[in-house]
Amino acid sequence: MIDPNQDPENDADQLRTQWTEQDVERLLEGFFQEELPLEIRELADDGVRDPVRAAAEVEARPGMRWVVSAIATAALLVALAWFIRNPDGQQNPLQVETPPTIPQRERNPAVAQASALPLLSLTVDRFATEVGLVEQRTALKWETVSVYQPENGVEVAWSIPEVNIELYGVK
Amino acid sequence: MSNQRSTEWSADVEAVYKTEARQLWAMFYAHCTDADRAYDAVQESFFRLQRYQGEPIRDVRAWLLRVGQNWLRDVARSKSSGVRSTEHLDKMPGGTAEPSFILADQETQQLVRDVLGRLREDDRSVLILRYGLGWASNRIAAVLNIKSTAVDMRLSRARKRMAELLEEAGVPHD
Repeated sequence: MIDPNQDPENDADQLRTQWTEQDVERLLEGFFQEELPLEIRELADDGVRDPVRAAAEVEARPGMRWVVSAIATAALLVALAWFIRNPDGQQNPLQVETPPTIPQRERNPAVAQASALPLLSLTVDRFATEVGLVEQRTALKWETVSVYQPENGVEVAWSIPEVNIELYGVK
Repeated sequence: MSNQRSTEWSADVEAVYKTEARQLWAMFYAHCTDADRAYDAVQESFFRLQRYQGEPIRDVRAWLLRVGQNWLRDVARSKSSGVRSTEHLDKMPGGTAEPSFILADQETQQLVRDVLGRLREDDRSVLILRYGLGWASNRIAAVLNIKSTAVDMRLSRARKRMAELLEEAGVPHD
């Protein structure tokens, strides 16, 4: 039923304040064009290569896989050479960790060794169970694994986080 | 630090700046909804990185984010009201737009800023990464460590909430 007292102009005003998701999208696109500082706007957005997109691109172009592998191997070798020849032995804070020199070792076939770095955290919880008191120890630590390659005389080392959960019966 | 080390370090920091500054600005903006202050936080965090001489940093982006957010917190405590950008004033004398249009534009910007400020910070983050930096959902997902579908859901929720707030504020649109 049409209300004769209804003001068509007010109706129009009301319609103009109804926002949809598409309207919000358009508004935000314009808003951020103004809002972004010039210095930030001028930075090229080419640096951050997130792993999901990179993997998707490689998947999409199978021929690129061997190129990527070759580049990665070359980069690894260059990085290793740089670390071996680094004269002052200071670590760059942006580098995670790599021994500055190769430790002397017997010329055996490739040797894998693991040495634990200090614990990052240790949490001890106790639970009352049907079989008695149980203690749970949750330890988070960095595990360093290194592999010596006698053919080219280099040692590759990397670190991975490791969580150990151990349960003990408490008497 | 020797001169050579110092030069190498500066080059490293510059490279990190080029790749991370945009994203850091977005995250700081999500935190304070102030474009200039967010940019100051980016500058401050890189300035501190430049002077840093401590233990190796495992995750530079996380380090910068933490430094910038702490700085923003300190600034928020020490200043109850910030000084807003006067960039719009620079446009007025030689610009082609009428001053009244510029002021109306500034008013709309401020309204949108206020509405953004009323959203949850995680909703704000996805909106800024999508519409500020133009990132696709999978890229946002990788940075926020959530699934791509969760990004889309969060975006939709944020847009709906924003539409409600714009209506509440009586902001007209074309």
